[in-house]
Amino acid sequence: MAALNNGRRRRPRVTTHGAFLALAIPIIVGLVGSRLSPYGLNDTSVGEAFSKPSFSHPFGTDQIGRDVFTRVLAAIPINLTVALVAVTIPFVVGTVIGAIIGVTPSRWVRSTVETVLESVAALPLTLFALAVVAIVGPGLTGLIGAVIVTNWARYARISSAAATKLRTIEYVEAARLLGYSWPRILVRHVVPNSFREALAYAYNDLVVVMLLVASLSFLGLGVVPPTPELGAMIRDGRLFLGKAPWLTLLPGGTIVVLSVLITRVSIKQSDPNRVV
Amino acid sequence: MSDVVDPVVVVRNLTVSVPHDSGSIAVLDGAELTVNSGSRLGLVGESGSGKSMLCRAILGTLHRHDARVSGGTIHIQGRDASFFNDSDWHRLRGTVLGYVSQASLAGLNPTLTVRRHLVHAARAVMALDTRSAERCALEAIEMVELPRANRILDEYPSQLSGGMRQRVVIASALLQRPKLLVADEPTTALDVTVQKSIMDLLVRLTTSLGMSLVLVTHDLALVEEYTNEVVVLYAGATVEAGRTGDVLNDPRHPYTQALQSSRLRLGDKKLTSGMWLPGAPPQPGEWPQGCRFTPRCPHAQDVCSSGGQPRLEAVLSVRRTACIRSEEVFGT
Amino acid sequence: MDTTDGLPADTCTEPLPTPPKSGSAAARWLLGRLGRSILVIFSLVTVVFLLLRLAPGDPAIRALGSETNPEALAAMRERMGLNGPLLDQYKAFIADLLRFDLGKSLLSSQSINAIVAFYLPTTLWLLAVTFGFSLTVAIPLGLLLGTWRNRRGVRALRYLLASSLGVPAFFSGLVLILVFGLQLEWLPVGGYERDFPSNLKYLVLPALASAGVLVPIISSVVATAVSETIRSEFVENALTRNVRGNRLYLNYYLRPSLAPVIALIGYMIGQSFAAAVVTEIVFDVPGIGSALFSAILSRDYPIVQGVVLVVGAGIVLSNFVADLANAALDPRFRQWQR
Repeated sequence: MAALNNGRRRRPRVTTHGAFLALAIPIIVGLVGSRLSPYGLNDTSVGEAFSKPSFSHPFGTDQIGRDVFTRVLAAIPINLTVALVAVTIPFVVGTVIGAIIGVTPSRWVRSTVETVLESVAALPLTLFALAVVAIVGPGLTGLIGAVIVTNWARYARISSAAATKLRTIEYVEAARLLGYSWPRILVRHVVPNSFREALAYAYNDLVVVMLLVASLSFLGLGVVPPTPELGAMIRDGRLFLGKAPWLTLLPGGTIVVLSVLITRVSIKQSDPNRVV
Repeated sequence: MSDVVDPVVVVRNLTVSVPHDSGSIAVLDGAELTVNSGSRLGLVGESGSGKSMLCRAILGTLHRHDARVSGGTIHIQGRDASFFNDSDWHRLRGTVLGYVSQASLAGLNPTLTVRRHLVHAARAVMALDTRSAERCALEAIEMVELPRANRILDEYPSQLSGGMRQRVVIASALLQRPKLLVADEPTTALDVTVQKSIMDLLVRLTTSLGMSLVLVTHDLALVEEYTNEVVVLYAGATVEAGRTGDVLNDPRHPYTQALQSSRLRLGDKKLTSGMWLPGAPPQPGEWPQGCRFTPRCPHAQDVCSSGGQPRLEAVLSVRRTACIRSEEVFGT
Repeated sequence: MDTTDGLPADTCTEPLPTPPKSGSAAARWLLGRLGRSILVIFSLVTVVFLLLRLAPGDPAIRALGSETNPEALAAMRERMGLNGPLLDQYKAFIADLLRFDLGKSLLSSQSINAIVAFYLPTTLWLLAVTFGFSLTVAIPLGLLLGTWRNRRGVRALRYLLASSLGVPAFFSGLVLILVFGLQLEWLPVGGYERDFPSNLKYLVLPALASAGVLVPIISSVVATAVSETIRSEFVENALTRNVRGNRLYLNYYLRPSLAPVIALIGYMIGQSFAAAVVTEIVFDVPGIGSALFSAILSRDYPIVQGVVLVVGAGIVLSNFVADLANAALDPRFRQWQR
């Protein structure tokens, strides 16, 4: 195809359709599935503890006899929703702020703000999440809060760069000359374009944040038991790694499947030149 | 030098395709070219005409662009290129075939000094020790008339101006003494005065080294000044071929006529394509039936849209055209 | 941009662009980069400072647990430096940092500097082994993927690598422990010895676990960069001049593609520091990550603060070194040479 485009490949537009599907389906499956299951989330049955995966317990049971499959199904929507929230808020807020910064006519203001943004964006996510959790204690709210506070700057950076490029493009100048006010230009042209640029990053972020939440729950710093969450389940299962490996492997495998799902969708949506 | 097989390159009825969706599309169909030794041939066409693909077919680099020859023949020094494998092409490149790309910042490896570029080029075709290779490099720099050769050798491409970079690219090609140099728009991105000095240099070098030149361009002014033969390409096919002076003064194909007359009308100024004729050339995949120039041809008639793209036919002794109505339109 | 020849067509008499004196311009660029790094560290310090003091709840209470004894509370506040107006607290904080004094642990009154000095080398060893292994695998792999994009086996490999990205390091770590530690019993399942070379066998599995994430990312960037570079004109020029073999691959495919890779490595070293927390817990390696974790659990805030600052500074440093490396390897980044 290179020949037909004079050697230039066009980038297809990144959209949100993939994300909706990729996330909605597992969430629905998880919600519905866990409701339909004959086992409750916390029905313990000590006699059946540590049973291997079987027909009646597709994922086996854990150390106090709870059905692992039901818990995994219930955990899926939780993992995904938390990741979704923790990504969407910085995405929206950061992109809008970045767009406004990008179109600011004063070069000096833009420079300063962009340097500040760069400093904030350089702060590592995991480290900060840990620091916040250290201070406010374990729990999802603290975690989500930490992610929001550090991540918005990354979106703002991408968005501001995109907006700055757009400032000088002809149709924005033309719109100005025609008397359109800045807010209108922002809303109709700049912000949607910035969203598009940042969307690729947001897809990637979904996986990153989901893994971060799982990691922190694995450490015991994320969700509060007995909320079912994939990382927490791995943590519980770790103690019995030799004796009942399915307690670790199955929730872990679920995380992998979810990540791969999101990653594949996002790769399809964005750069076809990417090799991996 | 060794015997020169004449002509150096012969391309007949070439079809080149690229993959598209689940099939393929032809980007060249009916391309013809003959390069005689010592001649300077201009390959003229607009973007989308397939001139770059034709060059790649001759140089054997089609696979890099996912293209392949799907019909016709290419003969290089009398040998049929469809039987060439990798090592055959390797033997030809450098010693028989040379290439100069469009002038750009990416024409030279940005991480290497000029010296290393030239030494690599020298060693790619000759077994040389370091000192001889460096001597070759120095000679090559002087051959392209860059001053203070020793200083230039240690510069990086990003430190040179566009004209100087292009001279270095030319030097690295010439150092291998190819029989044929294919120059794909070598001066398009340069200033007009730089353009002239580089073209003059190329011409001088082709004469002194006994080399043939294929100059790919869309600029008829360059063709007129610097070439002695010309091939006109339109929508993947050769539509006219002959001696430069003859073709430009007395065109035998409506396309060539349009190119030339509008150039003269606007007083020899450099034109961007599409300005002088309504419409635009058809892209591969959208070629009309019959002669591909029909939709824009002022002399088109029904007979022109029937059948396939007309083949090149001889009309005068050394002139060939693909216009089936050339005798009616232009006389004999 | 293009200086015109403008002179007799016989000779090229374009003046060579005179570069500014390399030394001073390079120094200026260096200072600029350094300044930016310092700025980031500064914002890091400020954010850490504000975090403790602006978070909801009273950190002193949390530090003490459930004690509500007003005297103990006041003493704790004093120890944590929470008394007085915010600005004064800030100045004291910065003053301590400038003296490289990270404070004392709340629980053991040990100097945090000593704690960090004890645990940091272990983590550094872990990172060294991890990156050494990952780069040795990822760079050639990326070169391969980038050059042979469309061959049959390569596509399967790409899918595999992309999937491997979704495997969190702690999970692959556990799987590795299961397989190599418990089932096959080739390697120890955890713990650590501090002397070289006996520490290496404890670092193999953790390095492998992290590599599962690093190798796909690094090789992906290498592959994309290489496949872009391959489309450049200078590669076309080189190929038509018969340049081939190792020279072609290393000098023309790989080297011009390394710039984004080096920047990525600098960034990934930073990420790995943070990810080390989890890895060290999974494999029971006593490095700075597990020190941080224990401090979090015991609410020993000065340690948390100190570790975050040290690791954060390390991250900034690695980004800075990555910039330096880029300038050394690729003349395009020597902005002072124009």
